[in-house]
Amino acid sequence: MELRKESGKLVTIVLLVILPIIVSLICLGFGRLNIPTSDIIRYFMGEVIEPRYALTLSNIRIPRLLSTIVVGASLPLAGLIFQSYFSNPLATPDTLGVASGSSFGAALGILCGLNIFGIEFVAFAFGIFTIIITGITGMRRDESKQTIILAGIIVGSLFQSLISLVKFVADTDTVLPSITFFLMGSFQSVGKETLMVSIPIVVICIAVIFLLRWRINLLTVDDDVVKTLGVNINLLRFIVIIAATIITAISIAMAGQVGWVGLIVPHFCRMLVGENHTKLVPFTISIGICFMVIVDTISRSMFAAEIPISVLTSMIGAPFFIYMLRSRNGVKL
Amino acid sequence: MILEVKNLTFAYDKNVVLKNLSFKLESPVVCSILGPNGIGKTTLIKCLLSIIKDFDGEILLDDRTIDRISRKDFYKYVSYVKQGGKENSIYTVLDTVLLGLASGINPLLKPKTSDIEKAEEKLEELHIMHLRDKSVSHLSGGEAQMVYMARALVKDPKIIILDEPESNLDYRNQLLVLDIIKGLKDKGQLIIFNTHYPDHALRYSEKTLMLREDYKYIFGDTKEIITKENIEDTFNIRAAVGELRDGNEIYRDIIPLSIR
Repeated sequence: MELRKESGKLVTIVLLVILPIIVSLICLGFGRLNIPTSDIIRYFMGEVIEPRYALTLSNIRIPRLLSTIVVGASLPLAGLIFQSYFSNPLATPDTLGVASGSSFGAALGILCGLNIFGIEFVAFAFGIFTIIITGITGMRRDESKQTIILAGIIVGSLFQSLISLVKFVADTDTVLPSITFFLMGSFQSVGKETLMVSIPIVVICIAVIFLLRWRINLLTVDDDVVKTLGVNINLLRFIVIIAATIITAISIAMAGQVGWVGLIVPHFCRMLVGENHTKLVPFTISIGICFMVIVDTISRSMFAAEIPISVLTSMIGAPFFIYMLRSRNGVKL
Repeated sequence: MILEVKNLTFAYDKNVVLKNLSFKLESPVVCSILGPNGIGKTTLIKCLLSIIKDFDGEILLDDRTIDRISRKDFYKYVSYVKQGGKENSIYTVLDTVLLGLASGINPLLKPKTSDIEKAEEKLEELHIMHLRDKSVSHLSGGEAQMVYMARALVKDPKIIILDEPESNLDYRNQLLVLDIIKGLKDKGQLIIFNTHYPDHALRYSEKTLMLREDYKYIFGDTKEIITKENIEDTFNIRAAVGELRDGNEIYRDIIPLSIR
């Protein structure tokens, strides 16, 4: 029995690591130029393959895959953290206004002509600013769960109008198109230097959350009780909320607002493995990556023209969320 | 351990709740706190637990003021059970109880096998081992209260403070909770609990603190504190005292009759 449990655990860990790799290898092959999976594997083994395959992979597909993986791991994980932090199943980067705040920051960065590091930093700064405003507005003594989401929607719409203002003052020939394009959400334009800056930061933040994953269970414990458990809960809260906001901001600076993934992936994982963050964190990362990579592959290879990624995520997300609301062991509000 | 409260005064904004409250307890002992709604029982408990820190006066643990003791050490000794039905754990029973050991677990690691064994021992002790892998949100009120007791007790605290632990429970579950309290005292611990049941205070506590209007209070041996007159004055009611016989045991009870 004990042995079976241990080996079951091992299988799960292997599956969580292998699954995103297999999905990525297969999805790399799809696109205007179809590349056989065997050639992709040979490419990664360092063998020589057809030059046009190799060029497509190294210049287009792999950078795009990496940015998809970054966003696929980040937004669902940030959603999970926000949900636990505010003890609210509806809390996500979108509903808390953080996505809008970060988008505004990024748009402002583009308007000011900053480099990618600058854009990400401004996006992060406004993300943090938003979460603070939403937190202060929404965390009232009566502990009503709806208040925080209401506050998030209000703060979010404030930043949406600020984004409109940025667009209004932006130069219509040069800056406006790039802001608009960026806000629609796409992995198309992610450059190599963006990845070089973003990946290390995201890896560090996710590693921090991953290592603290058992500790994160404390976030949902009653406020008074958790103070009497002898842990520095405020430090824990500070660390995870900063980490979650950084990965949100970077995702948004990279690919614009990709809706729904922060909501449905964590809830899907809850239905699979329950509420314990020790399991929930790795599952959310792994399944989030698989989901995002598959959806992006569909968005760029289904039709001749690329479908905006947010269109697809909401077409999948909304019905799935309705299903979860209706199902017995789904989301409880 | 000796817990001493000296001239405790606390106000929410300008609204004074507690004023010049003093008492002293030495383990092993069970102390009950009685008083009308809104008189400051929960506030007092939060001060004792150092959840509220900006009070005036002193709270001493073995002659050391509690703000001089490190958080980690203080909560090694002191444990808290919130009012029954006021908490909502989303985890399984075992995971919930393990959180009680959090301060001793490396922040970057999961609980060790020894931690899990400790938690399971506590589950056995409180007879809820069969619920180990169930989600607390699916349990009955009585079962959930046992889980929260287990989480508070798993670190083997010296002082256990409970806020109306037997509220919202049926007779059997009330007795289960109260028997655990008695068992803790027999093991030498110091227990403080808020209650709205004078008969529970009479049967299970040696000391009673009764909070009254205008920041008055009476503190002493339960038998001398819980009398017809004191209950009538404190709660502003008329009451009757009765004695019930069960075999050789005689139990005192106080029944509220009418509003005064």
